[in-house]
Amino acid sequence: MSKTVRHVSIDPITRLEGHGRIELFLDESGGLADAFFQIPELRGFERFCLGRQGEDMPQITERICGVCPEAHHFASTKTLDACYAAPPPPRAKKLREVLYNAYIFSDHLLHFYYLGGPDFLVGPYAPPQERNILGVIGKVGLELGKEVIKHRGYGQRIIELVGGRPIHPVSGIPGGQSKGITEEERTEIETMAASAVEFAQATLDVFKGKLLEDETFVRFASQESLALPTYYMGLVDKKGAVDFYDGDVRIVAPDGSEYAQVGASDVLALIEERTEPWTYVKIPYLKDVGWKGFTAGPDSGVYRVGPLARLNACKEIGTPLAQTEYEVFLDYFGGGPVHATFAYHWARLIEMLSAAERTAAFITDPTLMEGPLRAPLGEPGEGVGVIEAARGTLIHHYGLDDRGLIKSVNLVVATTHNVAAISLSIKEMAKAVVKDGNVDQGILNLVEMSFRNYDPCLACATHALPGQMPLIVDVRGTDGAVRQRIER
Amino acid sequence: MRTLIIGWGNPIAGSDGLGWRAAELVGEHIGDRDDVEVIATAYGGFRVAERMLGYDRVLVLDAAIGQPGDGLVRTQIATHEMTVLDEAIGHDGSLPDAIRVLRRLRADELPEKVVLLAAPVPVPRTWDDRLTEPVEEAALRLAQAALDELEGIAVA
Repeated sequence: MSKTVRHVSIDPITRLEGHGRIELFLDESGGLADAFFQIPELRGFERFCLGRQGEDMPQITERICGVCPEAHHFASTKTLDACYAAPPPPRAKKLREVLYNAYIFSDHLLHFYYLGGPDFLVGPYAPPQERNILGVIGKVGLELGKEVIKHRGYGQRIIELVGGRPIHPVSGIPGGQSKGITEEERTEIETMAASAVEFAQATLDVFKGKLLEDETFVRFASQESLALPTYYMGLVDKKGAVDFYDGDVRIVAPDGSEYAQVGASDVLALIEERTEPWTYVKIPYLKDVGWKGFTAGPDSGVYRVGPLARLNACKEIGTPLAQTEYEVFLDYFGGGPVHATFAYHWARLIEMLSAAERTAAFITDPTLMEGPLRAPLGEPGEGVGVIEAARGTLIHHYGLDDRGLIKSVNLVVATTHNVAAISLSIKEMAKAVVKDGNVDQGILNLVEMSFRNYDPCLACATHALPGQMPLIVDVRGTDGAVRQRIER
Repeated sequence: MRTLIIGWGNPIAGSDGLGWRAAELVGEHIGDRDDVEVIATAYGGFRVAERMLGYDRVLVLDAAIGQPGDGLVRTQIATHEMTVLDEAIGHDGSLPDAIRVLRRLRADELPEKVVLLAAPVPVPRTWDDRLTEPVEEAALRLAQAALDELEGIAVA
């Protein structure tokens, strides 16, 4: 570190799963010199899996994270489908779609009302004790707040009915599903899915009525320095529509042109994982474009995943109500691809509506209730499974030996894809707001907001008491001594 | 009176699996009781809190940061008195946050009290699905404490 640089540390970051750390380096004038996003985490997960039964992986990997076990469960199940050359029968695939879209709906709902929404619905400069879900309820009203809880419950209930257990689904098995649903359960899901569609529309109305009228949100969404012209990755179906569960991986360039569209088994050939000495997490980039450092643009292999990336990588949304909202979204930004990082919030809600529509469509599919639930398995081998977790593309890659035991594992998770972009977003926001060495609570929250766009999940799912992560910020002078400490 | 016992922790994150293991031990001991449900989960705060709706009383079995010999932690949280709301939370929210939100929105379905029982263990540093002997012993003590707590509950 240069002697002329001061050091600000935000550790750990609030409102994201696991443990993250932001390093801000200030120069002598008190402006931003540089910024990094570190992940000091539990490591060695792949090694932990070696030698285990392949069929245990959907239950093991779903415990990486306390927030999105469904994503790992089905990424793992799909990988085993590939390892055993056993694509699931149509009925099993549709059951997985019902559960998976309910998860996307529920997870996006959580982010808007509990995690990302407080920044705008309550305000980025509001006191921390007000800038939370209760503050949001104060803004949107108690009745809508009750609907939030009700529809969170619907999402969990659908996961329970299809997933086989109220917590931690177990229904995904290599080649299919372990169980179907009864007609009574199907009817219950149909009712909940219809309600979810209405609630998602109401949430988009809240967004358009409040956030698009909010000066701070509009400023951040339109500020050129906060937009990152990167590549974008997402799963699409045969028509090029967003697909959370299955399909090809499509990557578009910053100008919107197609960079690549490949099947799941070929996606890892497109990316390279880079290591840096200051973080445990690997940093993927597009191999053929190359690593040019932490920078955006067509010559940089940095790419993004998640809601905004999916909306940029697709040709259409694939469901009628969400398609209409997608067109409003594109009109607002003057067409795609949309590079404004704060547009992640809007994209997330469009996806929430689409996921509800998909659940409603799959649950009324007449073939959902009949036909085989599992395909015969082939010989164990190697396989790649790709799925869209709520926060981005999730890739599992396993090799099985002839006994079905795990001999190789690699997981590329959504937040990993986004690490370079998150660092860039933090840096650009800090550049915009840190002046004269002034780092107070409001400014820190603005910096945090820049990465909350991505809904990062640094999963470790450790719940050891006290069950919460304090935020401590140290501002250091050029001599390395702490000059200011902010705690909350 | 309906009681829910939640073993909270991650069974593949070493000592963080303590609460999960303690719940397994409680479940094995009490057998089939209509008035008691025992679950184990690695879910985050909001999902755990949402599972509490509809019960009269909840025991949460968890890990505390410390050493296995430090003794158990017992915190009885009257949900109608809960005042803690700390923004410094994980992605899914802390359990106190989540309970307070539900108190605002679904108070009539929340249990009156949530009892948090925790045994101190070292902070996990790596993935492991085994408990060390001291942590396994702590899980036994935690399970016993939960059973003692349970006996104090009037069975309808």
